[in-house]
Amino acid sequence: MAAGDETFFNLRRMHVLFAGSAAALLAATVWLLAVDHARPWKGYQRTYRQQLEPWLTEARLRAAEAEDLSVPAGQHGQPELRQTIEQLRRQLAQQQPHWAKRLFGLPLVDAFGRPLSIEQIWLPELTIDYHFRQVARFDRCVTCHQAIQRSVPGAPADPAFPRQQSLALRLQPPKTSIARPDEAALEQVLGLVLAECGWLDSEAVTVQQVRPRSPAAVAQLLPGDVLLAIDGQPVIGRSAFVARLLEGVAAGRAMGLEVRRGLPHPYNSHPRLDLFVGESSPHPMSEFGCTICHDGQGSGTDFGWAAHTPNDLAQRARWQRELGWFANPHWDLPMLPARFAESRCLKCHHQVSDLEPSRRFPDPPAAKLLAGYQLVRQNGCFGCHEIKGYDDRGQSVGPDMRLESLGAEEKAGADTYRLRKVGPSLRNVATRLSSQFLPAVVADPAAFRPQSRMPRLFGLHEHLDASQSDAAQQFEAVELQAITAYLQAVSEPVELLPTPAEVTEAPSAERGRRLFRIQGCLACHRHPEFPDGQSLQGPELGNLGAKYADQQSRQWLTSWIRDPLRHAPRTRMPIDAGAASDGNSEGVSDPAADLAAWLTSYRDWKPPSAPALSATDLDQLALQHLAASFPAAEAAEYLQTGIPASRADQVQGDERLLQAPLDRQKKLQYVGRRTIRKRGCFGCHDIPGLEDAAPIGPALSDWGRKQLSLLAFEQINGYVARQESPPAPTASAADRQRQDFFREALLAHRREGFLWQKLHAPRSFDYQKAGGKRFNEQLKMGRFTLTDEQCEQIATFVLGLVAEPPAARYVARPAPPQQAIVAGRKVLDELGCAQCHTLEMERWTIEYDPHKFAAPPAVTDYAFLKPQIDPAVVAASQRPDRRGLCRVELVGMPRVDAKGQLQEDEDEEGRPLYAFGLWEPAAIAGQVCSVGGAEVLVGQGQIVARRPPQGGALARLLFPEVLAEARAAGATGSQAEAWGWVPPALAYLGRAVQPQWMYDYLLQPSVIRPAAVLRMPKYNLSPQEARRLVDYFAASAGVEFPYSSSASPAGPPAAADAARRQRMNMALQILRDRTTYCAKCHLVGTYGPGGQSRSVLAPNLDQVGRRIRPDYLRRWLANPQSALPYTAMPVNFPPSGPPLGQDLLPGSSQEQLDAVLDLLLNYDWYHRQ
Amino acid sequence: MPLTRRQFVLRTAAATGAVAAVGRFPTIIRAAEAQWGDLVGRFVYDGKPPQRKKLKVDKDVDCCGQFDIRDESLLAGEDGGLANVFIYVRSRGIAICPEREEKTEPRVTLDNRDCIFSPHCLKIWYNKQEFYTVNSDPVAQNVAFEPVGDTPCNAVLPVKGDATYKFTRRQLTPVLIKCNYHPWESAYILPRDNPYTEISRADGTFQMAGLPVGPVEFQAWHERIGPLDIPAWPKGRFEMTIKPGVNDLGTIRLAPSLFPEP
Repeated sequence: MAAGDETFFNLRRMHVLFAGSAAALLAATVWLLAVDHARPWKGYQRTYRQQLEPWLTEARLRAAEAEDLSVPAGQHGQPELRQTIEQLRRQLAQQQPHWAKRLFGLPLVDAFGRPLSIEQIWLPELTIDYHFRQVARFDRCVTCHQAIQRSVPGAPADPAFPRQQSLALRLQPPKTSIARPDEAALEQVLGLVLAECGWLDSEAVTVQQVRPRSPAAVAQLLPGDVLLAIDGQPVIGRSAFVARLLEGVAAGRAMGLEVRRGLPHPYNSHPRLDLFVGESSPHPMSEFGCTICHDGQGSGTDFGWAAHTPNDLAQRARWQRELGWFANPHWDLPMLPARFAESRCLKCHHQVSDLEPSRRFPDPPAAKLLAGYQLVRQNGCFGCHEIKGYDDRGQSVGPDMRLESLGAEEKAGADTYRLRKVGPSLRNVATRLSSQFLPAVVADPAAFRPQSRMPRLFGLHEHLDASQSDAAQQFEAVELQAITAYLQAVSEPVELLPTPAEVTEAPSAERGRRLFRIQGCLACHRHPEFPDGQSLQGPELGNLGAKYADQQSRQWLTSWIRDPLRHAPRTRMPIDAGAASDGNSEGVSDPAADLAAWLTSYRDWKPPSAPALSATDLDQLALQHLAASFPAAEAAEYLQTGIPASRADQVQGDERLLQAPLDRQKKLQYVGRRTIRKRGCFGCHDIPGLEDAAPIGPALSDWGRKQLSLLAFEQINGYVARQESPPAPTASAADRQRQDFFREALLAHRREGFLWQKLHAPRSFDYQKAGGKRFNEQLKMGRFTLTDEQCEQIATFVLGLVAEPPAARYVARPAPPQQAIVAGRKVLDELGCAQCHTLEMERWTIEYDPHKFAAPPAVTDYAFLKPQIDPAVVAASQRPDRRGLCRVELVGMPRVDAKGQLQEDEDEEGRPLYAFGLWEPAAIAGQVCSVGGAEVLVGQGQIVARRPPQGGALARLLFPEVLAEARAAGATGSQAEAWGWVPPALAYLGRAVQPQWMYDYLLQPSVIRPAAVLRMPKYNLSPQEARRLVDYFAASAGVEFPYSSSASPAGPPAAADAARRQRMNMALQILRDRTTYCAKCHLVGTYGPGGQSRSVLAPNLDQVGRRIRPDYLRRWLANPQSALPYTAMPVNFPPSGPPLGQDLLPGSSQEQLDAVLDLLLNYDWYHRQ
Repeated sequence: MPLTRRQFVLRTAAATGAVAAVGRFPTIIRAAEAQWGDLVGRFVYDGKPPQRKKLKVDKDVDCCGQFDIRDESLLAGEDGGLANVFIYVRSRGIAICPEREEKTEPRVTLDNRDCIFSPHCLKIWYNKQEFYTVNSDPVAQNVAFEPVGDTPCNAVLPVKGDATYKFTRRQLTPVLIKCNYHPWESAYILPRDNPYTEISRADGTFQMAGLPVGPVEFQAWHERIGPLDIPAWPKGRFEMTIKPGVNDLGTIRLAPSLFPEP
């Protein structure tokens, strides 16, 4: 066939087609490049690099130049400052736009990765579980969060771009006249320079510079602050602001400024750079990344795909509107909402108590998480829900909060690392609780004790319809009587302690009341008569007349108070060594009987009568239980006849109680035992026969990662819709916001919503399901008395239980001293030591003008007592910041009046002034202030922060009481002296006492300070617990590890050392001198001042060498107040002036104290000689 | 070398400025034209004077047990005259009469005698006077006090021993002095930066001499009550215009209900 022009396709049409597709391809390419150019992260990077960075650099440069100008003429051009200025200039020049940057920023060119690019942190050891495979983590969060790590130069903990917040500041201008009301005047008078444009909003009136020590600096204005209003009135525009500010200057009146500080996400720096992200923090970003703590999809570079999670409904709506947020359905680990940000600390901090505030981090690192942990501990959640901190290989995976078992092998204290049961022992219940009281309090614990921590297990029928509720009531009535019958049947007899023979006085409620107030009961218990005592360590004791209504139970109470360990070996209640004398009356009284008499004199509740037991209901319930173990026919037969003797050997478990012949009592006990087992009462109470029962609830060890499909939400949405009610009128905005958040989470079937509902209405998940279940199969969890805030705290803790430990090097493994503190805190928490004792002193951060601050007068003292403070710190204490102020943290105790209230003095202008007594030396205005010297006087306006003391609530409660009692008894009683009568502060105990002595003392306390109004009671401490406490106090006081006792530096004198022996003989004269020296107040062995007022009796000196560390003892002898600021011990060896006691021990004061020290440290040896 | 006129003017101005800078401190006026007045008055316990409680003496009984030691916190005579009320000037920067300064003793003495502090109440112009304590008893004594913002003192006074202390700061209210050996012993001392402090005598009267003419704010204080917070004197403070001569405050009657039991 001849060739022709004809083609298979129509070329013209093809040309059109190709042209069209080429145009489409070009359009798609342009569209692609446009979309790429407009990706949100590029926008953030452009804003950060083109606006924020240059703005900040310029502000710093201007500040540095101004500082350079303010330096006196002769010192111009200081090398460091000039170097900084040059560096900032170069930096600013680099940050300015130029043609190359513009070129690379063009839409097509910027697709190639520079200068805008995705930034990521590669974390091969912090893997993500991709189901069956661990994959290296890479976090691209910094692609948008460019400033997350930026801190103020020279202040690594201060964010360069703080989080956005509104502030109200007060600007006090000087009285002056203004020639021309312009910006130059503003700078001259107020030290304020406004920027040409704002950080993000060019129109915003923004502070660029604040001159050092100017009124603007004193008002705490900072570069970058956006001015919004003056004296509550919004002001628009820069010129209007200048005019209004200068009007205020002309009038000489103070002005209130409304200021917006900081930047919104994603432009701000991370909070707490001292703890997180910063390179000098314990969690540098380069090593930890972001998602190990926050979760979310680290590889995502789009707001939605990164799996951000809003913190409340308002934020959710705003994100959806402004950022196109959506719930990423393809990522299993969405970011935690900010309210649960602390949860993930548990991934690495398995000890939990290592998250307590410490000296390095005095601001709580994870306050909400710790509160949740304490609630879980106090409410005994671990009794039903195992929280096991180790995996099958024994590797630590999270907090370990397992319950101790009271099985035979552990009664002897073999395992004391586990937690004790939180409820009282029911081992002797028949002796102490009546059969009327017991079912009534189990049915509704809050009716007897409104703040009871015991959950309500019965009568929770809101989720049931009428018929189901009736049925439940019938069976619950049987269960209550059955529990009572079983507990009384297995209750073990106990021999009550008799009244001591020497007691002559009848029990007195009046004496008991005083004892309760003054003898330390308030450390753990509350009582309506003493509303100031708010401890939650033990139960509230307001209604004991109803609980202990008969003679036998009251005798039990007396015996219990006398020796709790006799009745419940694992109780946390200590034995108060006080026997049988109050020392004030002629007769001898019995404190335990007095306390019992007073406690049982309160009765404001009567247990309701139990309904008559229905035999039919009992049989039905027993049959349900039996049917779980036997075929239906067999179960019915056993219920009628009991289990015959021929089958008895084959029957296991609770059914053994039903051996023939069967009677009503056996059925009751059987149902009682099954009910206790079903409801898990043994999780909190020690119950005979159920020591080794397994927890009834699901384990929580990895609940934070539990698959959502395994959470039975069932018909909860229907229940919520039915229960819908308007929020309580008293609810705050925060409460409503919280409730809305959790309600939405519940309806969306999220984990935190489930948890919230479980704590509020635990049985509601049975809504419309209970009808299809037998009574015994229905949900069992009880309802606790918790506030919404507490529920959120618990949720924060439980959500953190993920059992996903990262690589070993990331798991927090504190150094030995820190580990000692962490381990010791668990024992301290368990026993409530901090209820009586202050474990950390109060801290005040103050700011002062070093040129005006009157530091306390210097103290004349021995050279070896001079505080050692780094000279650089001393120099810094007189180097003011740009506001002209210095800052220092004071550690100690502020002076209080006789009522325990902060004592107020006045400065020269009549403004309030407070006196702060130092317990740690401080450098103030270039002067080193010693412990035990004059107090530091602090004006109210100088206090920047007050951190309250940790622990010691009882000591502060008792302080005014004991002082008033002493004064009423005719003693002078100063405030300082009264601190010595209450439980002592133990913040620095480890520096003072020998570890071995303290260990022995904790296990067997004895009287050390006769003047104290209450004695250290004896706790049921295991040797390990005592050792942990000893190590805790040594570590917290900064004693060098390992913690061992220190012997006398020189040891006993050699036989040939006659001179030293002679000095010791003379020193003994000082010790035994009753006229002036030691024996005037101290016992030395059995030798002492004789019968006299307890308030001036001081500790026995024969054990001092064994009890006190040598260096501390030397300090104590030289200047007692420098060791313990409130001690009443006088200065016996004055550092200046003529030495005393030359007739007894000739020599200088220092020679005298060295001789006495030598004798005390070797007293045992000397005594034997 | 004689000063030039310029140097003289500059130095004088500097000295004047320095004085003005510390102007909040009392100014001692020596000019002849200043006028002075006295304030007199009497405090009366407006009820039957209570029996003074005998204090429990259970230390160094061989020595101290022989004395009849009684509570000194409320000393009222048969006619109600109330002793040991502190009345002092609260105004700052008050002018000081030269005569008062001239008559000021260099030290204030507290004696430990018969196992009590004597006197029970003391006043001290701390800029001019030092505090001297002495022990006249045959047993050791202790003097312990803690003035606000000033160096604490806890000194041993052996038999026939003594000690000296220098206050460096004025106090708002009297400072409690106690003996840590003998819990019943107490005394009060009020350090001020001027001489205008008086303590009512056994008959309740007091006389504060040489006050500058003009308005002056006063403070009254008693150890059982603290500041004498009566309707006419909120927080125990009152202002009065001093005139030349004698200014009589009259009799101030204090109801027994104001005096709580210690």
